[in-house]
Amino acid sequence: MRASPGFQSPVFGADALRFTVIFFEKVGQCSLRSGATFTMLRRIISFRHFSAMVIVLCGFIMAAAQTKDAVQPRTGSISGHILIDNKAAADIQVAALNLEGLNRRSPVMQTKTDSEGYYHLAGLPPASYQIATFTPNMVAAEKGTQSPYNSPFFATSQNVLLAAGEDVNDIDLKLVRGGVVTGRITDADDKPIAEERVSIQFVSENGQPAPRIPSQFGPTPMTDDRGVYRIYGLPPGRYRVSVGQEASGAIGSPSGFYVLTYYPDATDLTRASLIDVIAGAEVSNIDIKLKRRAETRSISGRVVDAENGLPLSGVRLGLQVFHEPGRPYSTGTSATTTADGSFTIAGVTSGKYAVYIGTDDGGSDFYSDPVKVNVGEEDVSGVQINALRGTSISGTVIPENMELKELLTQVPGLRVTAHTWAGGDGAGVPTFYSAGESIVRSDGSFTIPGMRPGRASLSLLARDPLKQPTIIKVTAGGVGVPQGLEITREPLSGVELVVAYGTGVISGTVEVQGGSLSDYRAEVVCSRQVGRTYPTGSGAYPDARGHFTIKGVAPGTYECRMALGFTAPPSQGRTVPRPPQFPPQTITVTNGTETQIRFAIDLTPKGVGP
Amino acid sequence: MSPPILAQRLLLFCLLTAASLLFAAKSHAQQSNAGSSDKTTGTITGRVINSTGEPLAGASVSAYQVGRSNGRPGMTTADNRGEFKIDGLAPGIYSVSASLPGYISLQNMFFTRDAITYYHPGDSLTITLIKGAVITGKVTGADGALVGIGVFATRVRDGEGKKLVAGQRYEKRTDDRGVFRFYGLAPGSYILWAAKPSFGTILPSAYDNDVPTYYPSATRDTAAEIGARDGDEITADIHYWAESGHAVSGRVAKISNGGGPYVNQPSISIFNIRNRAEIQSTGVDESANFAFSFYGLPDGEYELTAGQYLSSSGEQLKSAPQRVTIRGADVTGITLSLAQQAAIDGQLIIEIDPKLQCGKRKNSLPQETMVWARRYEPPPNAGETKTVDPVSLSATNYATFVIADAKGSFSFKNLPGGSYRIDPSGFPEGWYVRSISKGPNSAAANAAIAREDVSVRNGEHLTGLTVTISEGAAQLRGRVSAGENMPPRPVVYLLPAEANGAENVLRFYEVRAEADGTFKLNNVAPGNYWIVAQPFDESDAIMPPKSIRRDATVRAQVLHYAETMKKPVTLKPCEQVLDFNLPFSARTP
Repeated sequence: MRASPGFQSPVFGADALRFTVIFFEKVGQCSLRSGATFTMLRRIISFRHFSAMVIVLCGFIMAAAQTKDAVQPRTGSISGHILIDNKAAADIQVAALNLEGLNRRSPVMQTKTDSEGYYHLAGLPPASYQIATFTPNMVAAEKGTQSPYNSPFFATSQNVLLAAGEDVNDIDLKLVRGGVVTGRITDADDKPIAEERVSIQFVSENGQPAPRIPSQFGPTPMTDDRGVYRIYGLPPGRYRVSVGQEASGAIGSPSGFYVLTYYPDATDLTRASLIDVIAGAEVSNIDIKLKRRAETRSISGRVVDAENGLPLSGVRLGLQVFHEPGRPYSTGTSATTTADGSFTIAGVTSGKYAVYIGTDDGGSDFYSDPVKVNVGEEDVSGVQINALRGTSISGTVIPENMELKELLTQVPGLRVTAHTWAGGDGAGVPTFYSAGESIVRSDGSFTIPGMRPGRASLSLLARDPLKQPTIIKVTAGGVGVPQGLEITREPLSGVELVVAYGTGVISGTVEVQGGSLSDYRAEVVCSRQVGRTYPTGSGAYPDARGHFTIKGVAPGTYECRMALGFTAPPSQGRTVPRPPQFPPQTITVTNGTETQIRFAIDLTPKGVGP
Repeated sequence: MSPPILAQRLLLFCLLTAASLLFAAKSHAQQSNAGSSDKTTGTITGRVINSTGEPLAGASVSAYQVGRSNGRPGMTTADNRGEFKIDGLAPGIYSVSASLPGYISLQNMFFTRDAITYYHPGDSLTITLIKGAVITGKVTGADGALVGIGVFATRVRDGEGKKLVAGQRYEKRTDDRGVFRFYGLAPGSYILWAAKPSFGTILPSAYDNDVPTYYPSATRDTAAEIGARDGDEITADIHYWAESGHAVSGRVAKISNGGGPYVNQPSISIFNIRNRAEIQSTGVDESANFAFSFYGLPDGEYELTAGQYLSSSGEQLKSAPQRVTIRGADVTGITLSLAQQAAIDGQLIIEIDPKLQCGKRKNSLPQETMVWARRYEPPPNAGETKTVDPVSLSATNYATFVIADAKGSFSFKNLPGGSYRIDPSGFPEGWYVRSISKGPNSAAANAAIAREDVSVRNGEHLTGLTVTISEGAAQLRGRVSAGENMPPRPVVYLLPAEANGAENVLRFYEVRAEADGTFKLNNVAPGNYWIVAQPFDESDAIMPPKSIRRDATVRAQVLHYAETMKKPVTLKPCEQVLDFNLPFSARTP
């Protein structure tokens, strides 16, 4: 894995999901206009959300494989049945998506089920496939599939790692029709409210809100010109529907905003009605009548160069909310300073904010300390932001057991990216990020300008997503920095990144006895101890048959573990025991060879005799 | 749990994709020191109303500074009286627009590729929004409603039935009942089709290999047009037939590794040659020698081009267009080689006349001057043409403009190689274009460059273009009064009346009269002119209207006519003629 000394334990919350959805929306629309959107995107790669992102993305796409065989390999096939409501489903489009090719817009192998619900996808070259139906209104009939979130564009799926000439049978998909919630949003005068976002939240049995389930691939549900919305493909369960924004600590339209209102007409979460959705049924008339728009305030001020007091134009501002515990932390703004250095952030609701120069997107040479602003009933003006010039990080990339030229030939366009973060002390103070990157020059050197001081983390980015070298050691001024870099206002030079790149393969199987892993998400993680403290590794998810493969592994001795995590969303009303632990296995990987491992897992309950 | 490297790879892929889309956003965030720029800011005010003149409260209004990639948009919302005010605007020119869900701006519809409606700080305007039309329907296939299929609409005729070229494409997706709904559509005629969604193109759909099905259940050639007027709600169901199309594939060569931090991926577009509409665009597979492919194409003739934006230099590399014909089989093995486009650098020279003092906003003049470069497709029977580089269909009629910096320097980047007409406009009252020259400012060179075109080849960087703007422009306002057979909104021409004045095309002016016959010609060089009104020549959709500065034939004809009509007007430096009466008289054959 990449060097991320500041890596935090996975944060798996509504936030992360929301970002994912925004991310996909925006990529889809190709409409990344505002700085705010950009900020959000960059935040996705910030470490706070990194792990969550990875997990969510893995919900869509599991393992990916890498190398291309020179010889035309023998093809194989995958077959199975599609069941809808436990009955064979005819004329359903089934596709084998090549998980390598998914990134590459490769053609999809697809077929239709016959009258028995049987499908047979033949002529498949060896690769990692996802078997899925093109049925966005369907959801998985039972949990334990490999797509825990009913990934929004395919209702359900199974992954198959197909070997050359192999015929894999009985890859069945069991589906049910998802539920539908529809209604109309009107204002106090009974006029329809058009293009207003509608939120739907899955509520678990114990009443806790669960991460939002993106029900359809595409934008967040929005009302049309008649104020009508329709959300389909919902897994059975209880839901809460809402429209509008929080009354404090949010940024909306300068023309005001609709206060967060739950169905039927509750502004208080505890008075929201829960909506029961059952498979295949439509719940209609989930109408919400909103009160008049509440007014918003503005924050205005000036950005000046701290060195000479001159106004700075074209500087984008960041805005974050000082949050009370348990509240979402962030908001965005696209406010930019004008020719005289002045800025106005309009559409702000009451609350405590930090205003600062937005560096999250790496687009600014300046940064600033956050200025705390309290917004009450009045507009806030006269906020002065002193802009400081960002610092730089420079150094050299040193390949391990490889010539630099060879590395740069194999991995063209290799870049070093840096992220820094400061603040975020846990007491409601937001975290301020900055990002930057530099191409690795032919002599191995790199220089990343415009960074905000703080803790920094470096990573590598190759143009080819399937060829990512790994940082295995970072030194600054000859001293190892396993705990991460501290960046001050002084430029940091002499950073050395030792990089591993290889063509080894680890593959194998996971065999389960005495139970099922359906409540967990299994992953094989192989890591290598370099020196004492710098682990580097990679992992893969076993497929429908327990097969897995990890490609592009640098030579070395690895410790491979079977790791289990919880599947999501939280199971309804059941308590899932903590995942069991398994001992690791040690293997050696060399370039161009495949190393096999087998995990035999016995889940037979202990102390309970037959 | 460690994040698996494979998932990281996917993430990286997503980030790379995002990064390639982000250069525009990134340029917004670039800082610039305001030390050298004007500190005064201004305000644009106005009103948003509906077609009956009632205020539209809550409409969003935005003002973008044109020609400034890092300009921030000024945004506000119309109040209960429909009024808005956008302040803090730096000197410059702005495009102002209003939007409200379900409504469409009439003003936006006048936006064309080679002219923009613009405003200055200090201006006030009224924006009329009309209730757009709705087209709704259901997409069904052999097995019933199709869920999640893309439905597209494009406007092919305007409200008066005039044919449009490759209009904007709207996209919706069917819901679980197969239902789609477009709203806020401008009056006109639309064609509608169902096809794979383009929204979220990195993801496959069940329709990827299919050719589009046009409303009602047709090919592009037999597609029915749907007429939509203000506020109409029209139902249009599509019966989809899943027919496989063909693929076009190849690779992109000579991709730049950039030099800046962000390396943007190349993108490839495919156009339908017959209607010049872009059908699809895609990216390359970096792991497979920059291969690309398009699927689901019906038989026909297409053009492919590849482009790569380099955020470090702002350069846009382009490939030569490549034509392909699909006849019942896939087309493979296409190579699109990226190369630099042309560039032109120049300088604005401002000639101040201290005796005159009528030139407004002297300090911000460079930032208010749009220097246009326009090229036009030669008429079908033009014979020899100056085109030296093959030009993409999307650039045969091409117009772009730049705005100079505070010191008057301007540069056109990324021009498709060809011959360009240089035409400055947009500057404030009291200024006129005296000359456009290349190299030394000789009268002969001046006349030639304004009359003819500047030719540049791909990869060429032309420097030393000089545009001289002088103080002392006159203004002529008046009205074309109804004569016999007066056509609607005739064109008013102002033509040099001096002997050999016809040499200097910069002294030919034209403007289309308003519906009430009033006209306004600003920024006119002082001198003696003929004035004449002519019916507006309705051109077809592909060819832009012929301009008197561009077309020597039009110039000769109108001048000849004006000389026979003998309606003179003399404009002294800085003179403002505000009530000129021009009786319309039909041309006698």
